[in-house]
Amino acid sequence: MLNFFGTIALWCALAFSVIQSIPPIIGHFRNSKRLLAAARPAAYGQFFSVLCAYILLTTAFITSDFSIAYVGMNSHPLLPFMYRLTAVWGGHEGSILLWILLVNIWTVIFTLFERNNALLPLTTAILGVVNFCFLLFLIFTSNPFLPADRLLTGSDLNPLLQDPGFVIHPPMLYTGYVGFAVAFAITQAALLRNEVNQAWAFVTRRYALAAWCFLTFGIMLGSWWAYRVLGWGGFWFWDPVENASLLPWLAGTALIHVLLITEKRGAVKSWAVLLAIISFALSLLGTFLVRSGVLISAHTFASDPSRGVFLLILLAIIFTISLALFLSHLQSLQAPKSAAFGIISRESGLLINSGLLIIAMLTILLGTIYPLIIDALQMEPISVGAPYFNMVMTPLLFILMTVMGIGPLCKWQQQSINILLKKLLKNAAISIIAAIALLFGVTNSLSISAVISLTLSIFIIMSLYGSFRIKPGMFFAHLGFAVLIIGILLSSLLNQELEVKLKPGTSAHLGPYQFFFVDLSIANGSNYRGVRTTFDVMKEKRKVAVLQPEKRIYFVRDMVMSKVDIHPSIFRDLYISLGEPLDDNAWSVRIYYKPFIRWIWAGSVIMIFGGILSIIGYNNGRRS
Amino acid sequence: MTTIRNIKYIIPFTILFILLALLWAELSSTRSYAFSSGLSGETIPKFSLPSLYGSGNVTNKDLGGRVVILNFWASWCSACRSEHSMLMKIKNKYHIPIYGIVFKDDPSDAKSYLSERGNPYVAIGSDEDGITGVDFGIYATPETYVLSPEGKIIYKQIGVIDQETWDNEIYPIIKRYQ
Amino acid sequence: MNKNVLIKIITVILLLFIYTNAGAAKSVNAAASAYTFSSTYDARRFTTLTNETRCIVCQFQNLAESNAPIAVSMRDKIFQLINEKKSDDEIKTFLVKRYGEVILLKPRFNPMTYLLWLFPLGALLSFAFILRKVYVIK
Repeated sequence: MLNFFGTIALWCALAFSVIQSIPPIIGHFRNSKRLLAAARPAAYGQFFSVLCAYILLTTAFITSDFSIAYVGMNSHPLLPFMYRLTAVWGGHEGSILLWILLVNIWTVIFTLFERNNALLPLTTAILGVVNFCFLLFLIFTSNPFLPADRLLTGSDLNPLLQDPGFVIHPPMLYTGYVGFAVAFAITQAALLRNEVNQAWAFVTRRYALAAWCFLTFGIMLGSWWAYRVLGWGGFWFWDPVENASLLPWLAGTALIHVLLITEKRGAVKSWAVLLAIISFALSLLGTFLVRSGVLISAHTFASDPSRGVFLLILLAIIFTISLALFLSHLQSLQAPKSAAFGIISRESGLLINSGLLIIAMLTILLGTIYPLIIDALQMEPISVGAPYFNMVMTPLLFILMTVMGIGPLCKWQQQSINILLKKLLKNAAISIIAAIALLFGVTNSLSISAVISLTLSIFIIMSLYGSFRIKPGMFFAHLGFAVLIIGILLSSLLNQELEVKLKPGTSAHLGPYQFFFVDLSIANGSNYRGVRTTFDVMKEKRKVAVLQPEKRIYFVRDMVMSKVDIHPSIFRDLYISLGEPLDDNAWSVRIYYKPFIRWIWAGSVIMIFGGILSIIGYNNGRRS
Repeated sequence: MTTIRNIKYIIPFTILFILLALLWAELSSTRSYAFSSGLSGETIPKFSLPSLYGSGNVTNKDLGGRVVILNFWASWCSACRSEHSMLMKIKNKYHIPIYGIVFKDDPSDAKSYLSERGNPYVAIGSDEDGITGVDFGIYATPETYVLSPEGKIIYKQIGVIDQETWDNEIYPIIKRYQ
Repeated sequence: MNKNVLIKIITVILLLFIYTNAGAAKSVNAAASAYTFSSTYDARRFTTLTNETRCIVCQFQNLAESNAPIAVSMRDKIFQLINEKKSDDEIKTFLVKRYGEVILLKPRFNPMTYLLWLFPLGALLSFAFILRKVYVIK
């Protein structure tokens, strides 16, 4: 029964999306206010229908209704309640439904906040077109409501996904991606109406910032999840799936900075429009390339080409049309002479760094698809992994950070070089001295990369002097970034790890800590059985922590999983992961001592806080 | 000025179309993942492993003089179990000598496995640390090599040998060398 | 923006690319701690090699992180080769011979990968030239 109503809800949504898109677009060309007005109510109708569909699917998961194939493939009667709610988006079909729901939520929010904006109907119409395409995709190739063709007992949710961090990671990422759809839609609407101006930049930047905050949060959660669950103490692996989420983030960061130039000075409009299109393109690429599996293995994809082909055609159509629109309006986007700026100016700094961010994005994109290119050209397969990315991104990052420390010191339009040089030399000197002193004091060793990274981070922080009151958004966002880089630098520099065979009663030492293996016990859960070990961690004869890593077997999927235990703190994490069991109750364990690793996520949170402050600045009428 | 304008026109579309073309090319290719040909055509690596039964070692020198099959297996490997009957057939019906290397296994587990199912091997070397496996370039078990009388690798099979593969690929190669 | 300044900036960029990548790993990973090396230098070589070699039966992990049987054996083999005083290049060639270029997570620099390795620097230099043109016009 549920699947019948669910499918009907989806068809209603499709109908509403048609009304939301076609009449208003015709209305734009025919100058008919009535047709344009159809957008908003249709949007509400679509939102309501999709929400119903989503609630129905969630109900099916809660009641473990395995007559629906999708539910059977991703859930199990023994799955804990919380994970049943989140399993709704655990598989392909459900995640597309979530995506569509999020587009609707953003659209409704947009209509509520931008009631009086002339761009509203057309923007809503374009969002309607986007959703129309994805509803078609959902209904015809990925319907979550398809009935099961045989009796299913439930395949359970992948144990790796049964984790609190992982629960909010995809929705946050998707919310971010979809936010860039809104920025894209506003931009297309403005292009159609020839209203790409400072007012457009003002509105778009707010939504782009919101999207950026969610995306940053989503990526941060993914990194934190990988650290806690995968068991190797790493927080970023440069694997294709992670890279796919980083690409729109880089373009989005460039976008919010370039929109600032357009908003304040009415310049670089064409670059801003192009960035809005690129950010959305990368968001789509990110969601769907990952979902289709082509990045992990082209052959997972090829086994069900209908989905891939549909997406490919969709992407091709959306981007050809939007690019064509952009290029046809290119001439009218040229800025007036009054918007000109000198080489040394705030605009210049923002522009240069936006270029660097896009170069970084292109580098990561190239590295990620390079193996696919080589494979498609029928040459011998190669791998492009973390060592490559770490090697090429480091210099780019350093240049970016340098400009980041100089830009905020520059005035708009033209900055006098003499005044700037004085400030720069002072900041540079303080940064280098502080960096060398800190590094020497904490680690007793100096390496060029370490000195450069720490100097540049402090350099960035120094450039924030005086901006706390005027630009709190920028203050916290850049501060957060500097903290993030310091976290990455220090945690990799000071990291110590050990693999050792221990049995109850023995201990190992790492850094200033002793790890005593106390005992073993049985620890079973509703859908797994497992062994729990207990370790006492001592520092200078005092017990500082108790860690209890486990090894679990999830019976439905027959998957073995190591559950790591971590003792976090601002200045260091203590981390233990169980390896293989050996004879005599002994275990092979990996112990990690990771100083300053929390700074990575703390820095991300501070960055997001900065983003939120910037958005609030807009709401208060202030331009932040 | 005009050059910049033209570049702005051309670059975005070129990038878009290149990416899409590549994606399309990738999708339409149906080749399965090409495992590396590794040491094909080369002389087998030197090895000397303790024999599973009895004393003494099994070495690469034992494998010369006639066409021989070298099979990597383990008692903990479920795919190896499905291959076992084919191996017995190769021994009993086709009379090709099969040498085994038991990979990262407990010798007593390996012996129980064979006493339960039968022993298709002329001799078995025990590669407990798996280093000989790496010397040969194996990915997992089962993997099988066909060796010429000079000791060169003339065929490598990754995964289970079934009757079809034997009839169509392996046996014809063996017959050419006999 | 005159030529001198541009040349100085490009030199700094080139130096950055070279200097930030010199040298082997400064620390020793967990995988290395399971062996006794004859020197810390060897332990660091092992760390770098296992970080840069792919686990070919895993989805996207390096050799240092994986617990797959063949991965453990590969680490043992690399340890053995280091003790036999083989160079990093010889060890990499040994692995590539058996498993293909795909086993190296850091692709080697050859005609197939020129585009990959030269792209970042090339993009930066192109960007510098575009900027120069844009500023001249302005």
